Amino acid sequence: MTEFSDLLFCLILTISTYLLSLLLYQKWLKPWLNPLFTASTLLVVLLFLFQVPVDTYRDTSSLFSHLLQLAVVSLAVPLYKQWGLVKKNYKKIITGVLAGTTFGVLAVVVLAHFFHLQQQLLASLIPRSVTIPVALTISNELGGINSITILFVVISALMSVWIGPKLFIHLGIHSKSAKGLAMGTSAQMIGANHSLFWGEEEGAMGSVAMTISPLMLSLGLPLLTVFI
Amino acid sequence: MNWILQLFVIISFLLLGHGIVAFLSVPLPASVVGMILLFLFLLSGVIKIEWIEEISSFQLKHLTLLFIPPIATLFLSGFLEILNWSIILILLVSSISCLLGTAYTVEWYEKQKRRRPK
Repeated sequence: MTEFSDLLFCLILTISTYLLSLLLYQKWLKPWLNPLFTASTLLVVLLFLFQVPVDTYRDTSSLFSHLLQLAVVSLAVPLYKQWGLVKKNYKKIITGVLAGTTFGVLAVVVLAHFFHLQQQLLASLIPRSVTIPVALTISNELGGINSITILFVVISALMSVWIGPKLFIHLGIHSKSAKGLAMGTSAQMIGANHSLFWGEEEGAMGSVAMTISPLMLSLGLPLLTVFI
Repeated sequence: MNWILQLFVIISFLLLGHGIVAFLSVPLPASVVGMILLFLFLLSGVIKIEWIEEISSFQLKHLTLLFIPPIATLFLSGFLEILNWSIILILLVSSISCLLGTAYTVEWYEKQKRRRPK
């Protein structure tokens, strides 16, 4: 069990790196100064410098995971505010999210066979686009490994929020719904959060996508077992 | 409504989500079930948006903070060794396929709709 003072130290360290990164971002507004990247990097460096053991930090991290659950519940609010928009566009939303999820899974399956990947790794890769708790459920069903699944989900979400906005600019994708839905489908909460920065419509589409893409993947689970 | 009460409403829905997941074995995380329930209560008017608006927008504004600890933990715990170039390539290609698959499908759908308005 971690001592309270250690926990408090990690807590303060985490919140101050976040506030500092937020300040930097608000000052210069450069996309590469996204607090998610700067704060994470800074935090890892600081934890390393202060020689904080991984287990001590993991206890702090679990405190935040409770708050994250509350934040997921709160996503009902933007969804409610944009409900008119969602109801009007439900066909578009379902088509888009279904297509994106299918393409994402197909890419994983095809490349995994190409590289002769172990089945366990393939099973951990398949749910990479959905929010962590659902990803774990699906990965377990398919015979994947928990810690590796979490790693894949986080890395692929980071890749998506890093590449996504650049891709949309270069390929001339301007539709607000397209951007929000794509980010929510590929990078779940992290993506939905990112699309919230763009605007209300993008944010609402992002949260809708992160809510229904795990539903779709769970429903498609019987189909997925064919690939394993 | 004050912040404590607002937070209390959100926490109740999370707990409700946990209860439902435990009893009905829904293949969804408790937090998502809680969110769907809260959404349905908002829609039916049982819960007023003003009751929870401040706390939820505060939480969502600082959502990034909550992602930082798990990412830092991952980087510290040394799982990164598993990320060889083929895995990275798969994650990258899959992310791009998913992003563009969604975005182009949505744009195609919007174009179709514009061509023949109902």
